[in-house]
Amino acid sequence: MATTIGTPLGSRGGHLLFLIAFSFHALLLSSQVATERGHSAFRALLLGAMSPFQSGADAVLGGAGSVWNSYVDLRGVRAENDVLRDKVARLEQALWLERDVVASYRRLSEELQLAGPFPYEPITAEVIGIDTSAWSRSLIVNQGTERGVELNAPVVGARGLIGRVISVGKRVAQVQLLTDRDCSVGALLSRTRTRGVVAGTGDQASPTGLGLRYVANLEDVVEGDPIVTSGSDGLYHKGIAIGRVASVRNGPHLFKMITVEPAAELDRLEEVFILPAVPEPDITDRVE
Amino acid sequence: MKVFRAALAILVAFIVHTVIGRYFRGLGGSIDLFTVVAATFGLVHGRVAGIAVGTTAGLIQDAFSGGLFGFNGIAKTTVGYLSGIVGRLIIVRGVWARALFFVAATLVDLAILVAVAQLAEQSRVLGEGLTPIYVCVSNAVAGILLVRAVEPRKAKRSR
Repeated sequence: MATTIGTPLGSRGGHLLFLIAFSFHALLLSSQVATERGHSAFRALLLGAMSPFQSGADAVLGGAGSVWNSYVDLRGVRAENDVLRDKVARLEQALWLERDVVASYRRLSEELQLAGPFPYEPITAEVIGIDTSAWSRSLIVNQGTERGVELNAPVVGARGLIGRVISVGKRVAQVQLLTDRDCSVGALLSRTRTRGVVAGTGDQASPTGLGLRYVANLEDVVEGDPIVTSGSDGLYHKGIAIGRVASVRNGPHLFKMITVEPAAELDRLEEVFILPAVPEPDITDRVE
Repeated sequence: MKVFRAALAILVAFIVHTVIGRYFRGLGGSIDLFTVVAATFGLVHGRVAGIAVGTTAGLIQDAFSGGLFGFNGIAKTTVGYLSGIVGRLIIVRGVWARALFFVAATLVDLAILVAVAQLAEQSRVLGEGLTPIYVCVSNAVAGILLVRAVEPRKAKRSR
């Protein structure tokens, strides 16, 4: 259905009105062009009349905008809160890892400082396994022939001797501990220079698992005497700390019964240092 | 009722241009609701209504636009007047016809503004780039909606 929107032209009143209005505007413009800023009072009057509507609308829209912005911000804060919670959780995990790293660093620093006097170039290895069977005491470390680890190489810790390499692979090695019943080390009492043999007892009931044998009852030995390797066994370099005399008493026969407190904390090992194996003595020259 | 609707339409145009334009940048330069109001009332209610609404709307637009006073007044008055004549002489129905009408009204408004600006040696009458095209399209859309809102109910029923 078609509809015509409009009004009849009617009398000439419309045209006259337009001429009046047009003239009014033309005069208005002309006067302003001449004086540049004329009719400011009329402008101010209209602006003043309209300003309440403007202010009211601005207040309403401003308030609505503020509420909306607050809502948007609230949603943003919620999402940000979730992100931050996740970040805090990750940072906490990272912090724990960092703390572990710092602890390892301190421990290694201490060990390196103590191991510093060694005139050898040690290979640092991490303990990756411990043999806790009743018949043997040994460790598995993560270095092997690929890094130059040799069979029978002495293994030391931060405080002293740990044992020696009894088998070695490309990237792994087995270390026999001092406390193993098959382990024997040529020893020397530092204070008196008395020689003996430190051997593992392999006895779990033993308080230390280590004893010093073949020291005559006549020798001067007291608790706390330091014991080092003598180097006479051809397996260990001379002067490596083994431990201290924990207890001593005369035996029923010729030798004292001495228990030794290991210098190294054999049950708390995480890193060890593998020294170069003691070279076998060249007997060719002697024969010649 | 006609006066109330006209006043309300002018007020809405005023608020859109002065207040909402502050929150939505570019809106003020993309539409000229004062032209739409003048053209609508001229089209729907005749040239007298178009002149009255155009004069009022134009002067109010001038009051806050900061340019020459009467600059928009003369343009809107002319648009309202011509719209009343067009509404009398031509049947304007359907979306496209009305869209074309408001595009023409917008172009007339712009042409008058340019002419007056040239006479008064004023600059920056038109926006840059495609602004006139945006104004034409926006005015057409707004005009179609406004005509539907203010046209007499008899016309709506007959449709």
